[in-house]
Amino acid sequence: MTVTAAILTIALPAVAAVCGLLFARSRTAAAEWGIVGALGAVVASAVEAFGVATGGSAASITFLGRVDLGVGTLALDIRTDSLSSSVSLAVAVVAACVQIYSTAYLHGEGTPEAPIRYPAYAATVSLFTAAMMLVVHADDLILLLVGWEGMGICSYLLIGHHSERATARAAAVKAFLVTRAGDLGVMAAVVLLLGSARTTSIRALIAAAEELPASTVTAAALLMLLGVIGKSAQFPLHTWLPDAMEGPTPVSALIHAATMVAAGVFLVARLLPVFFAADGALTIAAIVASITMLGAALAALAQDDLKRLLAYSTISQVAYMLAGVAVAQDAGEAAPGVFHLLTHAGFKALLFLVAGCCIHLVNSNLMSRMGGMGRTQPALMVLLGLGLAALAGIPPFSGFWSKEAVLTAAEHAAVEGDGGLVAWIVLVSGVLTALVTGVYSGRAFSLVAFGDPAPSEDGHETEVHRLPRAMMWPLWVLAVPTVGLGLVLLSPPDILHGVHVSWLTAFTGTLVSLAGVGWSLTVTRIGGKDVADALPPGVRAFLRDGYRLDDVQDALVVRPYRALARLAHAGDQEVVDFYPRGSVTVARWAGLKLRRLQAGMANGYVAWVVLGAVAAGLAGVVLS
Amino acid sequence: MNYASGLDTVQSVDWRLLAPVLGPVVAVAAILVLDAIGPERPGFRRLHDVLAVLGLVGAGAGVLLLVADGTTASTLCVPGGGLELPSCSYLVSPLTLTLQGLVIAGALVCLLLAVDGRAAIDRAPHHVLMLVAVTGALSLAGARDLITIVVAFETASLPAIALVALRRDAPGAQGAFTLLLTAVGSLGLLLMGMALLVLSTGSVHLDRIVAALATDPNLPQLSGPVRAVAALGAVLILAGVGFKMSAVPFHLWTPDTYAGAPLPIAAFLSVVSKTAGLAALVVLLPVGLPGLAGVWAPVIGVVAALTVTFGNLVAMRQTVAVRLLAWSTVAQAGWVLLPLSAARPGTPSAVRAATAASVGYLVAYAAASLAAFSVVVIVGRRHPAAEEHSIEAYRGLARREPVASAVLAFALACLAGLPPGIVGLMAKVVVFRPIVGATSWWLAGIAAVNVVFGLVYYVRWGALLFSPASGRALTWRVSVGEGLALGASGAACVALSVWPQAVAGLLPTVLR
Amino acid sequence: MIHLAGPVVLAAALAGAGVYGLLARRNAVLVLIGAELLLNAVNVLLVTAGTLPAGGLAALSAGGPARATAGDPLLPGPVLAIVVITIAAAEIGLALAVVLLTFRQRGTSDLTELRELGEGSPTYDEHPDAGELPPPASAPETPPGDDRTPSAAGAVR
Repeated sequence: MTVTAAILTIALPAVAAVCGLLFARSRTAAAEWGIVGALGAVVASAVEAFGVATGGSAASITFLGRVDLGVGTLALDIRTDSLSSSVSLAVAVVAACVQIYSTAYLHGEGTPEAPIRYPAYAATVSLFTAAMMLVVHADDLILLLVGWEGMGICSYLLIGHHSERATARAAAVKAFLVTRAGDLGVMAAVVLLLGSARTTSIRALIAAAEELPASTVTAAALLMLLGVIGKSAQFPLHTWLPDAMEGPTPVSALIHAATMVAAGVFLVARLLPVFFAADGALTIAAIVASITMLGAALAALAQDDLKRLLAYSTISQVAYMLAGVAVAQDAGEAAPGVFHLLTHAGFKALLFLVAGCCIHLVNSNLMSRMGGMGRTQPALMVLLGLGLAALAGIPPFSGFWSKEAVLTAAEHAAVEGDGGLVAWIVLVSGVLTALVTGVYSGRAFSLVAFGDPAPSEDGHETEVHRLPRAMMWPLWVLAVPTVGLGLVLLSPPDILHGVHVSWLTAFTGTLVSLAGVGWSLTVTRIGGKDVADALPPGVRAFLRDGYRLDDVQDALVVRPYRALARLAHAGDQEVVDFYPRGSVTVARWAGLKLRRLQAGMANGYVAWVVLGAVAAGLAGVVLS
Repeated sequence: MNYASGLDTVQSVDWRLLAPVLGPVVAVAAILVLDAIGPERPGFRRLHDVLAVLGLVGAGAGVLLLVADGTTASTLCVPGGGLELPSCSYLVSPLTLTLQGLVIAGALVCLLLAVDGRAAIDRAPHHVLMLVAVTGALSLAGARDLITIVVAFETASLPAIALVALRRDAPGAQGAFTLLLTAVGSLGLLLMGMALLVLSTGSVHLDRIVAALATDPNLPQLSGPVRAVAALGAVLILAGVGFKMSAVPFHLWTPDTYAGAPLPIAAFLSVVSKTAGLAALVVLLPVGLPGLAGVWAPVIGVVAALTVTFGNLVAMRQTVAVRLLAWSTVAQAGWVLLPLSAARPGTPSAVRAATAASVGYLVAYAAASLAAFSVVVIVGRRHPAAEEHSIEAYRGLARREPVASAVLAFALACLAGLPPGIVGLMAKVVVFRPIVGATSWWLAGIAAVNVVFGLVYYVRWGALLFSPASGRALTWRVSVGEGLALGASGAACVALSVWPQAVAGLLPTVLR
Repeated sequence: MIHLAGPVVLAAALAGAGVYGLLARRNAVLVLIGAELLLNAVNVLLVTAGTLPAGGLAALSAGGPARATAGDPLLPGPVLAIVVITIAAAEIGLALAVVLLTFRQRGTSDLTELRELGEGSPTYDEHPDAGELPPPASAPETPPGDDRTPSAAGAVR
């Protein structure tokens, strides 16, 4: 029954997506298909989680049969265990909240510049849910890869939902290309593992990880880490995520905060024994995570756009998860990272949806335009406060427990384990990040809840109105885990058995967080100014622009591409056309040149045949 | 030099083994007779169609009977006494039957597509030419001596050129001429290669050539110059057959001829001709010259890498549907060739595994290509720009014609190797296997990059189907032939995707 | 058995002339004659092969006797040469028919003027007009006229 429920978590959203596309003639019908699919997934994953919790150990079932490749077997199996069931429950709950929230958020037909195509939107979100569920439940790397790519495509489509906007198109292309670059690593890793272990079954690979040649495992783990860094937006492949905020806000909540970006961490957790068997892969992961968490938190500090702030904070928090997994002391210990994944899914989805409400109210992403909501929208601000408190790691909210679990794991590895210098780096970076996180959380809260809103450009005041219920209810639902998810530690499921919170780190972490929050709240409330003003203007701009990494990218990739694209031919409005042009401009330029061979004159073609024959003949004589 | 006496050289013929080849021949005779005596009436035109289909179905039944028998048997043998090897000109093996089945199925779909088209207004010439080309391809699969191979190869090539010219307009004539000139030049190379082989081994039977060039450690080594002559022969054969596979740099006729041909004939070239090309290549190189694998395998590797890369790069820039498909078939030909580069002399099992991978990929490709072409033919007949219609014609088609769009989208997914086109994905895995097995990492790298290149244009086209229509989208009622072709090819793609073991597991095992 | 050098040099000369004709001539008929020369070079080689002892060059070379097999009863060289002559005849018949068709359509058999299908040619239209769809009534079954070429389709724009 548990496994059947697991299959249903994949099948229900998938069916909902197909039905929504094919049969939904109206907006309402499309919305209903999406919601029904997502709620079905919630029920199924709840059943699954219950089954796992009571039935005990992991179960696996043949899903699509076995494909014998001669050199190895693809066992297209589905598995369900504590890790899959807990992540799938989180995904399903957030997806359901997002589907409901979207009906109100994406109301009407949109503007001519940004029309809303609701049936396609709802179906894509459902499809994304199904793909994520497939990743979570796959017991075979090929199956996992199918879901992994499916998520990438859905993410691309949803970021580019308003494909009439050039920025949205560019963001979609960037996201697709950057993650795709990482995905090549995962594919190569799968091929490598298939070649040496003769199977792609995750279960079998984990069992065989120790026996495989060390060089193969290391290469595979490093390649896979590339995919993780791309998908989870870690340095230096993180630049796509802030831009991905061009997508509708509920999508940002689901895909670019709660689930897809965390899938990279999930992959590491799932294949931890393989990473463990590889020399250095986890060390690199830990260093990347340390750089990313602090760097992204500092960038978040300087943002003026609420969604971009949350995006950088997501990058920073995912780095926490990665660090939590990377400092594991034995192959079964992914718990702190996974726990942070679960709590983060709740509070970050809440924060994004709250941000969506704020944006909905003032029609702008800028925090300077939002001020004073503490008076006009008290309930919303309570929710924002809960989310930010969890983000900052203030006890007793969920984020506190998971963040401290990560820090404790790092401390454990540094002090008692053999984590060495790397674990110390993670620990120090983690504590500093906690401080910065506190500062920017406090800053965001005071800017949005207090202060005076800047007048809008068109002069008239934005009218105060009530938020639709479909937007408020999901927020309260998400507030429950934000506040109370820490309680699961009283009776942790299997996957969280490794979570410990030591008093020393908890005390330090809390102190640091509170100091950060307190300082920024005080400065802003009393001084009446933005805490980010304390930064020198140059530094602030530098941080706001994400360390100008985009400029580096621009000089190396984008500018040559633009010049060539202009040379190639004038643009089409479709986002789908943008992808080929962006991705392979160089290749297409080559294509243009190669096509010149195609002169149309028949004996010119024969000349190439003869040339080929001469070259082949020379090679033949030489090789003989 | 005691040549056998006249009576001995009368070859025994096992007609049962030749049944697949004879089916279309009988149909050709019947159509020609009917054309000579029958009146010009629509009913008789249908009768032509029925006869042609019956010929192909008969051939298919022959193949199925032989499959059911499950034996490997030869016919047309020269009796050998004493030291002579028993050499046969025609061999029925799983490889033969697989290729024949593919040819027959592909030809049937193309025929169904063609019957309502302009090229088939004169039924008799069209059907006769197509069936003769099919006969050539079928006998090529079983041919095991150079004479039979070259006759079969030309029987498969020349009628195809005439079929292209049947469009009877300037682009048609030019497309035919382009193909003709390439075919003629290549024929010269192929025959030159064969002549060098005959010169160096003194034999036309492949089994004798294998024995003569064997790298058996017990035998004294061949002298360097003789080996060089044979090696030159092998690569010239490769160059001479390459055009039929549309392998770079012998591919340049492909887009022009596809654009000039009637669309069903373009489909025929992309599947049946390509199968014939692979049959010739497989029969001549892995089967006929395994001892020289050290020479031809690296050359094939370079050709395949060039082919798949060139094909994909240029395909990205195509806007005309049939030209895009033409360049896509170039790229796919590269995928078909890739595994052959893993052949190594002295390892018969590796050579056979590589061959099986090639054939497996070809099966997957053929199903997807036919499905895509079916939709392109249907659209081409109804679009004002006819054969030259651009892929923009497919914008928003999914709303008006969900079935055809679904078939096209699925076929494109198969060609790109994206889920849900599982068979395409599996076929690519099958191709990677021997390359990785032979540790040709540079080829594996090029192939991996090309997986991504290939996605670009297939996804672009597929996405067009589902984007909002600008203006009025096409809508139609398909004819019986079109409907059958669309249904059969689409069903084949789905069936292979549901049961990818056919390509990934079963075929390689059977062929091994 | 005759000495090999003579026939081989003759074959090489014929092949060279053939390839030159194939590549450098502009008139379609002359190009085809080049192809015929190439095939005749093959014939010379094949007839030469017929004069070698059983087993061909391999039997003559160092390890020869061990590899010698009795002659292939199909008389490889001469029989293949006869087949080549037949194929060449069939091919030239088809080729002339195609050249004739081209000549009727375009009024020339000069290859440099027959390149409208090439993508690098000046007349090739990279973006053929998708075309206005005809009104539904007169829509589907009538195939468009034979004179529709890419450039003509583009000109409708």
